[in-house]
Amino acid sequence: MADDPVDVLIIGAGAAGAAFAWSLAETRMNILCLEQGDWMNPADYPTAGLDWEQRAQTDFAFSPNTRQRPADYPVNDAESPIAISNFNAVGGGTILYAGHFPRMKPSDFRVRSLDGVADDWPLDYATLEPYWAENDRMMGVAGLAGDPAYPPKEPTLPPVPLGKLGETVARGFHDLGWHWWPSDSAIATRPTGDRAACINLGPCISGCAQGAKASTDLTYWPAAIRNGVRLETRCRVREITVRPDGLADGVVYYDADGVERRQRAEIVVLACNGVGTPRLLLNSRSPQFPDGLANRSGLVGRNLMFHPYGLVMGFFDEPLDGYQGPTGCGLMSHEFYETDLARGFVRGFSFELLRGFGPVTTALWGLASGRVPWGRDHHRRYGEVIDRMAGLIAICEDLPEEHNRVILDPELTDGHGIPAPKIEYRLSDNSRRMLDFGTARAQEALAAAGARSSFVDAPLRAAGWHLMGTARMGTDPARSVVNEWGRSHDVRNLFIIDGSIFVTAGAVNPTCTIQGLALYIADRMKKNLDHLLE
Amino acid sequence: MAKSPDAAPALDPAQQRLLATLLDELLPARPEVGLPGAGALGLADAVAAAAAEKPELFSVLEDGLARLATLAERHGAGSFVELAAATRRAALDELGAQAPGCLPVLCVLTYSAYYRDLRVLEALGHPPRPPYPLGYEVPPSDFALLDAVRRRAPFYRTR
Ligand SMILES: Cc1cc2nc3c(=O)[nH]c(=O)nc-3n(C[C@H](O)[C@H](O)[C@H](O)COP(=O)(O)OP(=O)(O)OC[C@H]3O[C@@H](n4cnc5c(N)ncnc54)[C@H](O)[C@@H]3O)c2cc1C
Repeated sequence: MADDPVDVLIIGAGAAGAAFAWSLAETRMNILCLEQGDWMNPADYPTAGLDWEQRAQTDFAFSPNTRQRPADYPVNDAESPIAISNFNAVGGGTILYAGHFPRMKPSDFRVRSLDGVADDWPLDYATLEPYWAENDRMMGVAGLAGDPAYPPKEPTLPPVPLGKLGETVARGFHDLGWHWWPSDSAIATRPTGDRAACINLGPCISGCAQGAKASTDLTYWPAAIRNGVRLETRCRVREITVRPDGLADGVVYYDADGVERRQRAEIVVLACNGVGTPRLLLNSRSPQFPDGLANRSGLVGRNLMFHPYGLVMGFFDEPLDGYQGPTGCGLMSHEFYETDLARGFVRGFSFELLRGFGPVTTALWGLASGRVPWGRDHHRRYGEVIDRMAGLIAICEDLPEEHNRVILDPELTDGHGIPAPKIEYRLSDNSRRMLDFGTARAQEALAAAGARSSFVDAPLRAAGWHLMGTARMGTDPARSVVNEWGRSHDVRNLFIIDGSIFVTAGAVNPTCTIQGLALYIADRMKKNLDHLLE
Repeated sequence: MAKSPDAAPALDPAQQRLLATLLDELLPARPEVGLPGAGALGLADAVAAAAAEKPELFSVLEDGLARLATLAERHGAGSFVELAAATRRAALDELGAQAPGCLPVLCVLTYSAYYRDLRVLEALGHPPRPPYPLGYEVPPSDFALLDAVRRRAPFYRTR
């Protein structure tokens, strides 16, 4: 019966939920995961059709507000300069992610001690190292050992090819004497387990039809399910319920037929991402928790961090490889990662290569930017840009600020009538200065690589895909929502394992750290099973 | 014939001819590189069908065509199709002034149909097929250029 209590109930089957479920499966506990989305079929992904560029703007758009699939919930981000991007399915955001897979760095965990800003994490780089390595093995990570920007680490697969485009940009970094390195990429550059090797389809960010990109529906979930975890799809959790003594006792959810159901559980684990998790906690009000579950600190939803993205596209005279090759994976640079106050801001940013646009996107972008008019001059001007663009993105570290937050929208609801999240976010002066500096350096690098001109878009509105900080971890219950291993300070059988628990954001894509943390928390739970709730 | 309430909206033959001519104005041929005009390529149906997916797009299309028909009359022609090339351009500029949102919408629909057409892809030198399942060849990289970085001392911060 669906209502039989389970030992562990995980909510959300994305990057974190999958890794956690797989790790905990070895305990042979009764583990159930409820996911509002469905399984995806890679054969249906856009690159299998000629309309692949249109579909990337419609049923595979980054924004749930544009996509409006049955699994999506709306997000009111109208007043934020950065809009929410996500995907709701088995695999979560990893269905759309670019697969750029860098680890955070030692200094990221100690920003208060080193730079006097924000807070230190209650754990450090060395603690996470074995979990990153385990995650790399499960996901399959392409890259190259020996990067002086990092403590030693061993990618599991050969790096993705740079192509002419990447080699051109690399030469720019080389000539300036700046650090660059092939990306750590969650992409199978040779056959890996059941996954075929990457064939350079291009737009990884609308799903990998080849199945070479490590989305968790292909990596962790098959293994977790083989090991006994149950995954129920199209089940949207409305709220987490509590017993009179304040412990969580399960959830109320809507099943695939829209029927309201109850699922009881000994332990509840939240993995709904940096927006979905605070939304669910804020929607779980009770007499014991009138301000939302696990929110005695008042910090649920607060300290929302993105990575503000500064995009610079350079225009070259020579044709490059266009969109062919992994979109966001190629090379990265950590030249400006660590704090140098002479630059006018604290902390730093990384660079990531962006490959070119496809034929339709080039035309539409040209239209919107005024570079490619309609009419007689169209083809000449189109010829100047098609396959001749290469991009760099400055991924900036956002610092936590309490006024940046996820709240419940007073009016907007999802298809089940559940209050939807609203984003209140302002770009800080520090982030603005970092974006300005970063985009100027990107222009320099592209010019050194031979670009004759470039354009800048910062902050890139669509880039709200790294969602962090909204249920931060820490040792002080007044200053954090969960403890140093993801357990709620207020509700001892409630755990949070997604990007919500980040204390700071670092300046790299977060998913391998989200998963490393999920594996770490699972491990701590396994080691403490006998006195988990003490 | 009365349309059933569920039928997708469609253009009549005169509107179709006008649209084909308009498409050739927006995306004209460039014979020296083998690129046909969007109208000559027969994309009018595809553009009308894409517009028909959203009532607000279709009404922009219909409104634009109606305005062009009126503008053509004002320029002394029976229809936009009959106008001389230079006058067509003038009529389009007037359309742009009257209804600023119209041409951008039509361009989006036209570009989206044009640049996924197999004949256009071929003329651009792109493989005339979707990316999957064949993918593309990107040769493995020679990372010799990394030697300078490899020689650099570790520079991540710990203190
Ligand atoms: C276009 C794009 C590109 C990206 N590129 C990169 C990249 O290159 N590198 C990188 O590191 N990261 C990237 N990301 C971000 C990455 O996808 C996320 O960091 C990661 O998926 C977050 O993992 P998570 O488990 O916290 O949440 P998610 O993966 O978002 O999973 C949360 C899951 O919870 C489910 N859920 C939410 N609420 C409920 C509910 N009430 N009931 C039931 N289920 C619910 C959702 O449906 C979803 O499946 C990208 C994201 C996007 C959208």
